Amino acid sequence: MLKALIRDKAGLLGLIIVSLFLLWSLIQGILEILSSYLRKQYLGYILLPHNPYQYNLQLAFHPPSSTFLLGTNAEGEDIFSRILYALPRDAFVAIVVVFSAIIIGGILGILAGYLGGIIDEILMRVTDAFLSLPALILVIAITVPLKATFLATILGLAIVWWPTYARFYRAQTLRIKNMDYISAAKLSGVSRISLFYRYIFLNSVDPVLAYAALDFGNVILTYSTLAFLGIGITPPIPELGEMAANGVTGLPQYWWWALFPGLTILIIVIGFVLLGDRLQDVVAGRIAY
Amino acid sequence: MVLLQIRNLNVYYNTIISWIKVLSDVNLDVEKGEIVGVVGESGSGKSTLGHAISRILPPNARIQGDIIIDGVNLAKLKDNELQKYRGTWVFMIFQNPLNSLNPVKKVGHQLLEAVKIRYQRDGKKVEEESLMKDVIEVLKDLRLPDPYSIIDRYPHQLSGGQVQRIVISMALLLKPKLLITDEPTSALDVTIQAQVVNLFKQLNKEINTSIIFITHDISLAYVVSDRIVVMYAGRIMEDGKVEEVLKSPMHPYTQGLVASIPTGDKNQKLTAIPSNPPSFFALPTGCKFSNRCSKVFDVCRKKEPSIIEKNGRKIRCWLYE
Amino acid sequence: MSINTVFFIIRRIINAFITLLLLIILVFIMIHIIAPNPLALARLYTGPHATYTELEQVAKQYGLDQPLYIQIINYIINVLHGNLGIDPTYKVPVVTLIGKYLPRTLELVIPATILSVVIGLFTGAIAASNRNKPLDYLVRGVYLVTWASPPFLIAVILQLVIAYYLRLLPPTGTVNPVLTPPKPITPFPLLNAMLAGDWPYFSSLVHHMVLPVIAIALVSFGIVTRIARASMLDYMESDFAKLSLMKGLSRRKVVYGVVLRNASIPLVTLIALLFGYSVAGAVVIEDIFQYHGMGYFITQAIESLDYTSILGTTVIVGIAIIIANLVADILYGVLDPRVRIVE
Repeated sequence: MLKALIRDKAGLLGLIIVSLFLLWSLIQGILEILSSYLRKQYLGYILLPHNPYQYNLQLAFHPPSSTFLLGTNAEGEDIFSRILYALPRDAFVAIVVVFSAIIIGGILGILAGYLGGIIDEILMRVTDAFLSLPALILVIAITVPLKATFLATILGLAIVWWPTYARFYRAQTLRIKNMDYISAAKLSGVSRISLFYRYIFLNSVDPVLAYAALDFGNVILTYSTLAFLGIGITPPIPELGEMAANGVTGLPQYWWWALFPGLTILIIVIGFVLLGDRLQDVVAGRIAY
Repeated sequence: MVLLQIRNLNVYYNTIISWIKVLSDVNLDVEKGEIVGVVGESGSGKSTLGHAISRILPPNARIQGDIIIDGVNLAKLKDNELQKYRGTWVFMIFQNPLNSLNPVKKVGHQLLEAVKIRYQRDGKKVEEESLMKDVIEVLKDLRLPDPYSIIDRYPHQLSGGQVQRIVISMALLLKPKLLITDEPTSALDVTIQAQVVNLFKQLNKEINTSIIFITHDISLAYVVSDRIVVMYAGRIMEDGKVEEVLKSPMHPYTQGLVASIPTGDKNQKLTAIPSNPPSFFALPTGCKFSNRCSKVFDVCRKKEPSIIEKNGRKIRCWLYE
Repeated sequence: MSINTVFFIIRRIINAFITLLLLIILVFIMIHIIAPNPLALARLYTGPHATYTELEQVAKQYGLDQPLYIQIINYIINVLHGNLGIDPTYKVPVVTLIGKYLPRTLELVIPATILSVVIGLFTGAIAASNRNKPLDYLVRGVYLVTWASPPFLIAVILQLVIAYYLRLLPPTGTVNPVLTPPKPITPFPLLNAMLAGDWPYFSSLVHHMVLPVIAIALVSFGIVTRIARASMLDYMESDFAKLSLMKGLSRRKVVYGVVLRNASIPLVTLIALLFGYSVAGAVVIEDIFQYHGMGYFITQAIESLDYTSILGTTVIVGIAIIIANLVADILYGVLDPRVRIVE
């Protein structure tokens, strides 16, 4: 499958961007965790060109230069370093949200498809409700009463994200239910439902992963927009959306502050879209393996 | 008088995997007013032939060769030049009538479009009212019930047989020199089939349209055609007058097809040709029918035979060379 | 419109209301989980700086000491009466505030959705008829970039390039503050200006609307183009498209007349979804252009953690999407005779 991916230039580009993003997030993320655990601040910055928290009002509002690749903000902090420092959080949110959505969606979807009847009806209605309103509005509605903390945001995103996967797994279950009903009945001794779970989960790995690749990008888009609105941020830790929001106050003279965080998200999401699209094509057999 | 001359036609498709050749070395003549039945199993290339002649192959197809109608070589024309030949010189009817009409426009409007094109090409300017009269006339001719209300209907409100008759009305209004029909009765009830076949004969008689009748049903081809062409794996295997071919089929494939026609005799053993037609990605070497032929011998598997003429019959088989 | 269509639409409306109901129930359940006692709930209403007595008062006033299902029922009854609570920051009913800000956002979102659909359809058609040629790749590139951009990036770039650099349009604001607004006959400022014949005010409004509308349209433009392209490719190989070509119609007429007409039908079902995306995008885009609409209102509410206003806004957005769904259904019936005329 990897070979088929690489053959297409767009898919390859997507793979490169995503790998770089995830690799960086992993390394930098571990460093950040270590630095707070071991209380050695510098650990979080060793890979960065500058200390992201180092403010120097004399260096404020510097345009992009050789020292400060993407310029500085109102406090003289290097924007490039701040962006690099903030990336692991996005990766973390994306991974946690998508995987929770897959698990919750999988359990509920398979259950609903298997049991049918009222439970299935309820699930359909509930997913309808979630899918009819834009994700952003729903997450706002959930996180604001929860004081818009980082944890609340992840919870809110997970709650809004699972319905798509629930629908998918339900469809798979219904398909299997009609096909393998008889052979499943023959396998007495092993609980039928655990058989369903294993069969369906294992068989769905390919298409779900292909869609999830695309979905990571969606989560990052929504999360950064929430951060722009001030939801889910934990100052003083930088967050891409929040940086863009602050940067807007510096328009138009200090344009780099508002522009570059947004461009970073653009590039990363493009990576996920290219990768996810290509994976979906491969899985759907539109491309020969 | 010859209307259509196809010379050395080859058609290639650019698929995801590779280029494949779906029509090879097709040479065919159709006289004015002649009905030619093109027969073959699914995947024999007969439908592709129809699309190639009308030049509506999908964008990933390439044509090589000549397709000459009344002196005009359609194969050498570009898309925008072809427009003035479609409809009035060559017209094609498709298999499933229910998909053949635009679902969002009334039937009358679509027929009006056709007759307008005919008059435009003839260089005449006519009022819309008299155009409508033409349409009603043709609908009556084809014995469609209540033509005045039918023209206000949408395609989904009509039955399959009715829609096919509407499409044939379009042909009657366009008066093409060549009509290609691709499995026109496969999607219809048997009783309607007979009616539709008679309509084609009517068209042929009334406006002297040549017809290329594409079907997988050789007994149907026998009823309709003057001449029959047998296709296999994108090649013409046999080409001759319909009574002669059915009485004494020369190619083993044709023999198999003729033998599989049910005669209505209860004790008849239905024979089938073993195995399936080959995929264009994996054609056998030599004669393409060699792996299913009961009369196969050595040279068949090594070299592909070319078409030769014998007693007014065109045949592609080593048995006769 | 046949009786069938009417029943169809009524069923859709009921469906949508159930959806909204479920949403309200869900939000209430979640709030109750975080704030399980009446006083904690009261704090959600008053904000973080309330005294014990104030909390008690609020709890009594809003019936927060009652069991959850009664609270939900009360809220729903209130909603049906048009009461969405009082905004704690402005001390004014939420509906009044929404009534002021929503029309301004609608003046952005509705044209943006229409623009997005119309241009998206044509771009999709162009891409489909030039499949795998440079024009197709260009369109797909534009789709990729607009889809992957966070809405604030699109808005910032538009603002920088067109407003600040090229000086073609004003960068921020709803209208030139120097001008006096016309009589508020309707809640829609644009309409008011038209009715009063106040063309300078109208022109100023329009000048300030152009960039936000383009930005919002770009947010959903990508999806429309992508689906339009796929739909067109599907229909171009259909039998009736081939027959139309065979009749002798020009290829342009077949592609942009017959095929586009048919291919656009499935897109209509997306209108409600697009409307939703546009609303979500509007929240951020209005903030950047300092356009005082619902986006502005929501942003304020988030800053002050104002749960009443947020819930009220969500309900209104839900209703707006229900209406958008209805419009889409009606449009579907208009475009596709197979749905209208059932034999």
